[in-house]
Amino acid sequence: MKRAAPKILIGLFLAALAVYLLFFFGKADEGRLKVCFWGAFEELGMWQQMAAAFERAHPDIPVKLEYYPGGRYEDKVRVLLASGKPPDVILFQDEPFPPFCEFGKFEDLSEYLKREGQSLDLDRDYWKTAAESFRWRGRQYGIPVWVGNTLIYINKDLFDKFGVPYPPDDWTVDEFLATAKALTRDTDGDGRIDHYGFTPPYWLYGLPFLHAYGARFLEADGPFPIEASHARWAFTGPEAEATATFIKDLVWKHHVAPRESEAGQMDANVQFLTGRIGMFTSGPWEMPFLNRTGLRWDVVPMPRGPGGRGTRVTWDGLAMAADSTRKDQAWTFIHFVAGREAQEIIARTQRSVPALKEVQDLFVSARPQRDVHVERFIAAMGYARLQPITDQWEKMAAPLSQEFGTMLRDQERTPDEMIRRLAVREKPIFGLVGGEP
Amino acid sequence: MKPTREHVTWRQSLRGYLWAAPWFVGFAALTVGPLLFAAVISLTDWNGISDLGPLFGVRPDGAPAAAAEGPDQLARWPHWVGLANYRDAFVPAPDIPFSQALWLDEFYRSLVNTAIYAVGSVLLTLGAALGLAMLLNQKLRGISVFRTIFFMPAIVSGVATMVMWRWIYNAEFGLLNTGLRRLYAAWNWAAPASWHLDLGAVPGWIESPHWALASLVFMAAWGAGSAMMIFLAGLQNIPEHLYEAAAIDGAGRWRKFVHITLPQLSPTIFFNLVIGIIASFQVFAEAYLLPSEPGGPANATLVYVLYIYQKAFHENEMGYACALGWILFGIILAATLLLVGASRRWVYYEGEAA
Repeated sequence: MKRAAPKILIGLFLAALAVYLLFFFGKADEGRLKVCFWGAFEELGMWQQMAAAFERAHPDIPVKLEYYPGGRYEDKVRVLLASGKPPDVILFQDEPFPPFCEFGKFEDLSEYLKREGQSLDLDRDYWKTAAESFRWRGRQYGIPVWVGNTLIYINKDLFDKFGVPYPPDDWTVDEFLATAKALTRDTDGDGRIDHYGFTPPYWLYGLPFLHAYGARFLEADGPFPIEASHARWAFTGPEAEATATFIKDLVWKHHVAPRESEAGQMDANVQFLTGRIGMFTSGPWEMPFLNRTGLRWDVVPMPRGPGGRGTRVTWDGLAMAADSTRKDQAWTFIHFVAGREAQEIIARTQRSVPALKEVQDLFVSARPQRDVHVERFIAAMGYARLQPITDQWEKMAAPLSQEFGTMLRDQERTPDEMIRRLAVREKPIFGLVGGEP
Repeated sequence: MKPTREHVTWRQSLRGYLWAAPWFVGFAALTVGPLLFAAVISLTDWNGISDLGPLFGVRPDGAPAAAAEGPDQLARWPHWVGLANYRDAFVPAPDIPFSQALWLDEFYRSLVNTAIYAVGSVLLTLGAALGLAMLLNQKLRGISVFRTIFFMPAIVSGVATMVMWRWIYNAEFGLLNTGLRRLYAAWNWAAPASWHLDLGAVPGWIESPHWALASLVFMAAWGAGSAMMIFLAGLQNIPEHLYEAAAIDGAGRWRKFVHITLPQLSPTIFFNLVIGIIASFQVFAEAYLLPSEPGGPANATLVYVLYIYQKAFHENEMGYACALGWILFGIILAATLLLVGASRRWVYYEGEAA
């Protein structure tokens, strides 16, 4: 009897090994085109609709959707690419895009664009900045799917409660500040502010304010996206000072935006939804979420400053893995998502402005809240500017995020000091505009 | 008769090795392999994206046509850089004054943060675990229920625990500060006006550069359950007759604790200490998930492994990150050897000559 126990254990072990090997060498996913994407919960449904429409049009190409919700999507893609068995089609943002082209991880799509019966005319049918965003060294590595430009969201319930008029179609940074002040209230009289006008934007969402004051991060002498060797750090001078001072004063001088400890670690859209803040800057991707809430809200254009008016435009596009084993099918899928049927699904979801220009009217008319000025996202395409994207995006972003964060958190940190420290940290990457400061 | 080498047949050895084989295979494939790979990569400037072929003289075929032309493009493929990554880690950036390098240079800052966290969290955890184990080492009805309750946090998923702690620490709406504000308000109600406390002057905890690291240390005590279980086992191994003998000699509770419990428990304390130090040097998830920005605010929670992660996966410096990994290995090895060396002075093993 005593000898039986090890035999049972050996049996169990062998059974476990067999199951493991079965999964390891299993071919369950073979034959399906793998498409990976990130996004909010509402976007999963949108991709499922697009995949279903694709499979109706191409019953011979079954699709497997790989949904990676939440942050750090690029890290995940990086690991998938390094594994040598990446998904065939990859949704990607324009900011971290160039290194993946530079190092041959994404397929050069320039020739696919001319395919018989599956061609795309990016310059004619899509928004002007769309195709540009996914070029590298003159070649096309990604196909634009949708665009986000950042506007200002306003909580109309809060505006009405405090009798603050909605901002006009064309307004200035001074009017913006006055509006923010009017929305900032201590309603229960305990000496602590309950409603703020605005939330200090993360540095990237602060780009529209750089435009308003005529400042910029990089100066370039090459095409967009910029090769780092053709860019120089340019966030210096009176324009940079004016921008940084404006953002700092929102928090410390006027206190119309919560300090870090007052924000309660809530994301801007949650602070907005709860009425904690009356306005915040973000892109159209907030709309599917806000549409599911009972909130009355609208979007208004970016305010104009001494440097004019601008906003950031950020594209998401589909890339093909260079290691894909089914490139023809992958192109068929990418071509489909760039086409009218899929772009209409995107328009109806209100995820973002679709890349295909001809569905813009549907994007506007599909809005579930009749009094939301969705067309302002279309209008913003006229004054939106491309971001300072280079193959060194992540390296540039880390000091920006830290130095802007410290300036907002630390009352003693002056805008001048922040600009100086940024220049010191960005100089090894880009060099400085005009040489030494 | 004591079993000697001759009594173990080759069949028995083979069976032994076979049983251990899954572990050996896993260790080789999942630990030694990546370790050696990281050692090789640490000698290069690989960015984690490009092909590794050029390191060994192979031109990758997926390369853009332009990459073949000009030194500017070729400079983007990985190269052997010798020990430069190790040197770069230890030499602070040129714009940082030497006196402030520990604070401003991210490599040293992350080491300092990690050391503070390691010492603070291990002392706090061991203290809490030992205290709990003493409390739970009593013959009471239903004691196993209490043991289960106190062990529970150690097995609840780390991320779920951290979401809870985010809410406890939340400066504006958190449990801790809501309680503190109530206390302040009660004090202000009772105390004369000149002694009043400012209701806004509560700590920002995880959102404050001064309190963030301390917040992580306090949180570590939450995981004292596993160390507690080991202490409990150690306590139950202490022979009862030692306490009886001490009682006859007139020893009180404190004397029994100092002269019997602590020496008898010293191997257990030592084990928990080593495991705790190693684990706390590898702290990552807390610093990644708790602050609004990983490692923030103002690098207050930038711990070493988080620094490695950011270099490897955000700033495309895989070669440098691998070097950092090996430096950490060296630090943990040195700390462990130091602890083992020092342990001869205070750890008592039964059966050893005193």
